[in-house]
Amino acid sequence: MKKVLVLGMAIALSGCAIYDAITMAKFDNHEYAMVNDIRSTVAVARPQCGTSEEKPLVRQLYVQSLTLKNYSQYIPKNDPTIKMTSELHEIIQGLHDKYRGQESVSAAYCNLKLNLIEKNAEVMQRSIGGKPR
Amino acid sequence: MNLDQLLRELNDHPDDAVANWAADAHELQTQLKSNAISLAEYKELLQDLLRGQEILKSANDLDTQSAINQATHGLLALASLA
Repeated sequence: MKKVLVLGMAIALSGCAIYDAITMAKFDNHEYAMVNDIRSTVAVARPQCGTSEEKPLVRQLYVQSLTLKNYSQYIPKNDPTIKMTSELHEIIQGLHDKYRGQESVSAAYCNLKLNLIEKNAEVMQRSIGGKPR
Repeated sequence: MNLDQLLRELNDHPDDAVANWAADAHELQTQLKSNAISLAEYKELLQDLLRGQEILKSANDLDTQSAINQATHGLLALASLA
């Protein structure tokens, strides 16, 4: 009896996972383009680390990640993407907060931070780009 | 085994995600030791590494969902031909 219950639960759980996969949110051009914008802004911003040119680019990055987070938030069956966009925004928010009230931050911190943002944005872009059409 | 040794060992881990995480964590250690970043910055960046692991986990979930979705639709297309 116990084995039947465990087997039934296993089938129900894997059935849910398959149902989630079949009904998942499809590829979205806007979502993909927004992650691409973030990656591109990071590529432009990195050489400016430690200069006063960096601050407006970080502001732009912050607005882009907030826009992406808000855009993905209410798309049904989009849970993994919602999680990723929220985490990426948290990372970018740290950099943005650092610039509040000051013109520049250390080049080392800026480089490490942008490196992490770029790596994560690339992981996200690859995965979002692989969503079914 | 000290922390540096442990990170170096994890750097050679066969799982790319573990190896990349260890390389990033080791880089943070190095930057902190050379005073290139402050302790507060170091803590924030370590937190970011954890967030990166969450992103990686969600990306893997999404990849799996996409593969199942495409396989299911492929099977349905085949069945409709039969």
